[in-house]
Amino acid sequence: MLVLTRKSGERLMIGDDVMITVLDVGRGQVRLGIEAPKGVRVHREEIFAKVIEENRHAAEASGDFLPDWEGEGDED
Amino acid sequence: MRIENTRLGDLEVEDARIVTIPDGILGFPDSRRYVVLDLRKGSSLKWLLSVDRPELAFVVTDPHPWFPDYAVSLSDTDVAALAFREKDELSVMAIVTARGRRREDTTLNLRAPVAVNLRTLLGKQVVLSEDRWGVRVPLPVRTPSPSGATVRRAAGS
Repeated sequence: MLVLTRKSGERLMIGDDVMITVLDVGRGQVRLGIEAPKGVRVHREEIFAKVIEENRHAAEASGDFLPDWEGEGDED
Repeated sequence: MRIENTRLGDLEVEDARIVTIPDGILGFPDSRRYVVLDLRKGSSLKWLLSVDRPELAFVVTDPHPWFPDYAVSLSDTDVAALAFREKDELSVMAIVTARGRRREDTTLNLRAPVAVNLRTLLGKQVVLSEDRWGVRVPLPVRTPSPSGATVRRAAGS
């Protein structure tokens, strides 16, 4: 892993077109500004963990999937 | 080809219907081939059955009848992964999680839909960047309608 030290207001370039600016540092948090082309997805890492967890739930739940409501119009 | 599935038994599926998801569904990297089958005739729910793992299956549905303003924007990487050329060739499915049999126990993962290119039969689970849609969005109270006229957004999605 490449480790760099940056101060507030300083920037990082990743490749030619992704720029990360350290906006604010303090109290155990860092605020980052990210400028990237529209085609590049930027995520907090946690969302992947959430999607994986939900996929596992979905796969388990599909085992006895027999919805009562489906195709029967409105109920209650 | 013949596929084995612990829920539906052995099935004969045309090769031309097998969708390849090179990255797999997130958390299930060892299954890359799937087939989409109706849950029952005329159902809006479908099976996304793994060809590679007999015990693995998801239930999926087209989110648009439920959420008319739902939109998926593909990144350049997604476009390349799907060999995507034209809008018509894209099918978007949301994975359904049923924690019980009632409608109110059922949620859709709108944050990470499965996009399939119907021409190339390449698929990808796309994690959207926008925070607007969650991984556990309850089904709206009303039944879906193709026109969208009777569909209401679920509260708190």
